[in-house]
Amino acid sequence: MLFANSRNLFFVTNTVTNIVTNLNIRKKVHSFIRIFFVIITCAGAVGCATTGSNSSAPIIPGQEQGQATGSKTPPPPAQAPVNSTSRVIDDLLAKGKRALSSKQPMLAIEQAERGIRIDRTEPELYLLLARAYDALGEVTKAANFARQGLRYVSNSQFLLKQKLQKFTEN
Amino acid sequence: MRHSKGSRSKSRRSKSRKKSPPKSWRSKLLKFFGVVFGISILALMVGFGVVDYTVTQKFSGKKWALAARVYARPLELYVGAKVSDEALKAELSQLSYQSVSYLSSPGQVTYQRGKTEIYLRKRTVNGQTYPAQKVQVQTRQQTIASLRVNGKATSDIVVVEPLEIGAIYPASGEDRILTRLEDIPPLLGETLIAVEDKNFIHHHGISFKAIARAMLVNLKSGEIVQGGSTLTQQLVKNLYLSNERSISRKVVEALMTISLELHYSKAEILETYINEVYLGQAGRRGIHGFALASQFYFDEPIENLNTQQVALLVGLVKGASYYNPRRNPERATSRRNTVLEVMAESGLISAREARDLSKKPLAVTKTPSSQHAYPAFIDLVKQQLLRDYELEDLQSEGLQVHTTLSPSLQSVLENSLSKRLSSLEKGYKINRDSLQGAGILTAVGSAEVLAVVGDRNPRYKGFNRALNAKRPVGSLIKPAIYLAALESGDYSLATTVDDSEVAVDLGQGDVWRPNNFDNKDHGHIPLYNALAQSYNQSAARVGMSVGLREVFNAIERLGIDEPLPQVPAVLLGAVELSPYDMSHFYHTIANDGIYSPLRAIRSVYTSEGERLQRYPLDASERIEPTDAYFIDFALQVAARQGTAKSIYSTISPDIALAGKTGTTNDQRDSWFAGYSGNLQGVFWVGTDDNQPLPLTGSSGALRIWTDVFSKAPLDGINKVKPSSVEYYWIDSQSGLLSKSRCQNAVSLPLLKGHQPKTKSRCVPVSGTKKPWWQRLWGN
Repeated sequence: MLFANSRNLFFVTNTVTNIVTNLNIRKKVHSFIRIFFVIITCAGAVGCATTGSNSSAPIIPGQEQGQATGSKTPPPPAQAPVNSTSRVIDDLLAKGKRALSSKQPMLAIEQAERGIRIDRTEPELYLLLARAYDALGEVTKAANFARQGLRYVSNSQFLLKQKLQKFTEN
Repeated sequence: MRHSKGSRSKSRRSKSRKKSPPKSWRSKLLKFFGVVFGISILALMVGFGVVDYTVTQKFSGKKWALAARVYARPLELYVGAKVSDEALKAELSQLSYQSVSYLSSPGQVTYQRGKTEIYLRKRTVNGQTYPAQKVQVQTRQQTIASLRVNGKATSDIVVVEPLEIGAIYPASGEDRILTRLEDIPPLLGETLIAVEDKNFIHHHGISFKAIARAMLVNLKSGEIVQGGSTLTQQLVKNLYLSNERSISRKVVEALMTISLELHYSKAEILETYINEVYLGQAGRRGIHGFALASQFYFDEPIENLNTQQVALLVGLVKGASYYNPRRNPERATSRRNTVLEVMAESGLISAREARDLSKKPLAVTKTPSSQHAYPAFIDLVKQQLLRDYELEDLQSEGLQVHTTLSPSLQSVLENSLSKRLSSLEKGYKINRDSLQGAGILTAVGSAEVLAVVGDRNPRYKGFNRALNAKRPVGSLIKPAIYLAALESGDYSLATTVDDSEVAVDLGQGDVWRPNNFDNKDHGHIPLYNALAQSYNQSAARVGMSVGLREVFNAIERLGIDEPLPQVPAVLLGAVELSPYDMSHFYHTIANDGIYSPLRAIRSVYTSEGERLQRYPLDASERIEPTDAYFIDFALQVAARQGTAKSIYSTISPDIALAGKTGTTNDQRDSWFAGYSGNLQGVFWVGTDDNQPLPLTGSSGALRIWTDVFSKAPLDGINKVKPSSVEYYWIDSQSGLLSKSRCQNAVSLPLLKGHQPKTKSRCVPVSGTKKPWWQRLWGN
């Protein structure tokens, strides 16, 4: 429904824009109308929704409704970390990959586990574990870690998903 | 000729026969002494051989049974690490870092607001040696915002040396930390020689000069005030012989001393002495060697000893009990000052220095360092070690056991538990000191046990409730019921369940009628709320409808691998499990449905630092990602609006948390299990004699959990929504499809396409005016 609305309104937006295009004030009005209709599109989509948020954080019942259920607690906002640990994780992944290519899977496992202690939802770390255990011939363990990694892969990480899935097929 | 010869010889024989008695006696005597002498020499040679063999066997081989030493996890500093200034300070203080205003040597730290500068010591962690480094740590919002090593910004992980937290001692009770001669401060060795055996470098084990001097001094004073034993002789006495005083023992001692001097260098003898000598007592544990004594009296590594500390430790050689600096500080001071004088006489320090230092206080720690202060955690470590090692090896091989304990969290856990139990007793008028409690903190994902308390007195070494107290778990078991229900495919979080009175036929005329805690029926309620509000009637009904077998199967998959009584009452937690068992159960939920056995050990190394074994992370998928997501959702609701909602009166609502309360019949046990994105905690409160209490899970264990989690660095729960899950607006009364801004509409995660097909009637939320664009576009 959200997408259907978006498509229809985008069509309307373009039509109105085409009409205004013929006028002299084209440039200024063009951007204004586009912004206006995009806002309307979003608001309408939200108003019509029977589906809730698509965010990864669940909407706790009562919070989204606010006054409706009398809840006093606000919804949990997405947490913005003060400083990301991504550089540390990248370093550990790089070390782990180097260890794998120099045929030291145990060292790679250590780096991956160290990474999991820092950010347990980084799927690349589970891929590293899966590869390392696969190199050791422990295919069941490799598959288990790959399955866990798949739980943390976002929809946009197609390649990573494919790589992890390869280990679960054994 | 022959005759004459014969007659001469005859006459000689007859002569000799005449004189034979005295000659024969002498010769026999001579022969006898000759034989005795021969035998004595032979015996001495054999004896020396035996002694020599004994001496060399022990000296060249393993001289001592060495305790296994247990270490906490090393603190890792990196940009983005969640470390508060307080936690950093506490950990560095436990590692004996001295707070100073200017860093001049390793082992020091300076604190400013939000900025800590540490002069890290040279250290070996995980087989890797790091040099002494100056590290600057800046924190913001309990997180490391910047990190510099020797002035340069770094994105690496800086590893701090791990804290020693315990040991598994030899049966003999002797404890020591082995040190090499090159790691000993030269002043210590020189002072020891100056005080105990001036001629050590030149003599061959026995110093007749020293014996004569001692005899003279003793004769003068009329009592034994000085011994004539050299360091080698003292070492022989300590290492090989008993305290018996006899001639034969003296002979053996002399032979052994000579043997030792023949085979080994002075350096080897001195090093062994420095590791062997008895320097104190802590209960059954004998403090041997200067390295351990340095830690025992000053909480300092041996290389950090200053001159007056060296003097005191060397002074203790004469009588560690008599000169005990904690029990007899005056005697100890006098003895230390005598040693300082000897040091000045020997030219090791100046006379003025000796005078100045003799005015300094002893500065021994009030009690021995708290490194053996984690009995509950050490229990768990031992339990896990004994699966792979013999106790005898643990007590003798000097293994180094690197564990997962977080000293800062352990300290938070201990303080929170004991303080809160006292305040509960006061607040609820419960007999003082009658409440008991236990708690376990686990890192979500790595499955590492970070802290354990098994008694309200965390130093108590007796019954460990965290591991061994099997108590009914009450509602803590309920997630397994609803998991089984969701897995059956007949239920979703939106399904309404009946919370009216329930009766379960147990056969033979027995009927089980569980009641809600508030003794009220709640009619039909959505499944997620039945779990969040912990209603008993709906739980029993759902459990029986899904089937006990399915529920037991879910309990097992969540990590409880012991046989459970196959009765319906288990649905409401009539099953006895420990906080440690329940930690496995809730870790599987917190860890997105992946079961990992909890670990307290990372690695075991030999005394030489060679790694023997690693304890890697293990994982197996036990719950489908969607079902894990749903259960987590319901437990988050429990924390926001259910039985655990008091959490958010203390902890910021910005942090997503989840958890479940548990209260057993007559409120004999109060439980809470809950987690954030990175940390999980299970707590139990009750009494040892199983008394009814005025406490529920919420008013008892949950409060300790909240105390701990409000002080711990937390990541909120941030689950990745499985692609097959979609959020829908559901009417919480009817379970039908609703819309936003309708009364009683809640947004629930359901399997995509599995939303209710029937729409509920929308009553707009009263008091809220729809935005104009919604009115324009309609619902």
